[in-house]
Amino acid sequence: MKTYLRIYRWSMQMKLHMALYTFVTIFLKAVCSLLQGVNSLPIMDIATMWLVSLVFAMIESAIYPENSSCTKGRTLAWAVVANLCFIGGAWMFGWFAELPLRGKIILVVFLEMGLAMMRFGDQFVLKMDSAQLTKELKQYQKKI
Amino acid sequence: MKLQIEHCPGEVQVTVRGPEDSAELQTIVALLQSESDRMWLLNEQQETVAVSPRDILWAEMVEDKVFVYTAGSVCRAPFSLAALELRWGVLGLFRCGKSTVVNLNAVQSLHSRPGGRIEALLPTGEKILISRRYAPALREKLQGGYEG
Repeated sequence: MKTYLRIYRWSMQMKLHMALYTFVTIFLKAVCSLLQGVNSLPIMDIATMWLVSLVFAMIESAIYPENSSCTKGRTLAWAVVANLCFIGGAWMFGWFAELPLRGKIILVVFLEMGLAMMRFGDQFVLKMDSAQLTKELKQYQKKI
Repeated sequence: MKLQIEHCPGEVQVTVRGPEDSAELQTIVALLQSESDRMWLLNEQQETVAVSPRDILWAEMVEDKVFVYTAGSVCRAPFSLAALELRWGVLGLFRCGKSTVVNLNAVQSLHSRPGGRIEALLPTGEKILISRRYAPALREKLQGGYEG
């Protein structure tokens, strides 16, 4: 039962990230297609985007297991795997093959910005929140 | 708060005056009561020991049994976590999980974690995780204490 609950808890967290990555990838593809005057997305593209997002989300949960801290090593590994998965997936499955070179460069920049923002949330925002919580804790302890 | 001390012979008597709904008054009363209020627990040698609520670091329920952790020992408690929180909650015992209570006065620092969870670091080096369900209540409790 404990193993089942642990797996269930893991899948709850992992699938949230998987859904986020799938949505962003499909959204970018949709925007690029619309800009090129195409009003539909191939089923294979959607399916492979989901698959790559699933694989990356699973690897991500292995890099950041439950209750793990955000170290530099983990962040670097996570960034490398993200680039391999999404740039590699785009190349392998031809998601953005019809885009000109500058369009692909913009997408890569967008990917790096997205990854940086995710890490910013973990590294800085959480640290700032931690400092604030500890300050409030000390105030609370003085009152007791 | 005004503190007035009168020296006179006889039994020590403490009178606390204030509004009935005053949080400060309730805290002072609980503090005074806690000095004589001990928990009777069973230690590792199966001996009954008296433990002050202030010495508790955290407590957890495992297989319907409540274990109380102090700096140097683990004791078994004959009451539930709910009873622990209800009776000594004003002294800082806070329900931080379905089966965990932590003494906020014993926490060294708090760390925000992804997913809305908070991690509490104790002097012994142990880390207690406050689940996302209880994290908002902790924030509210601390902010209430901060503004008070």
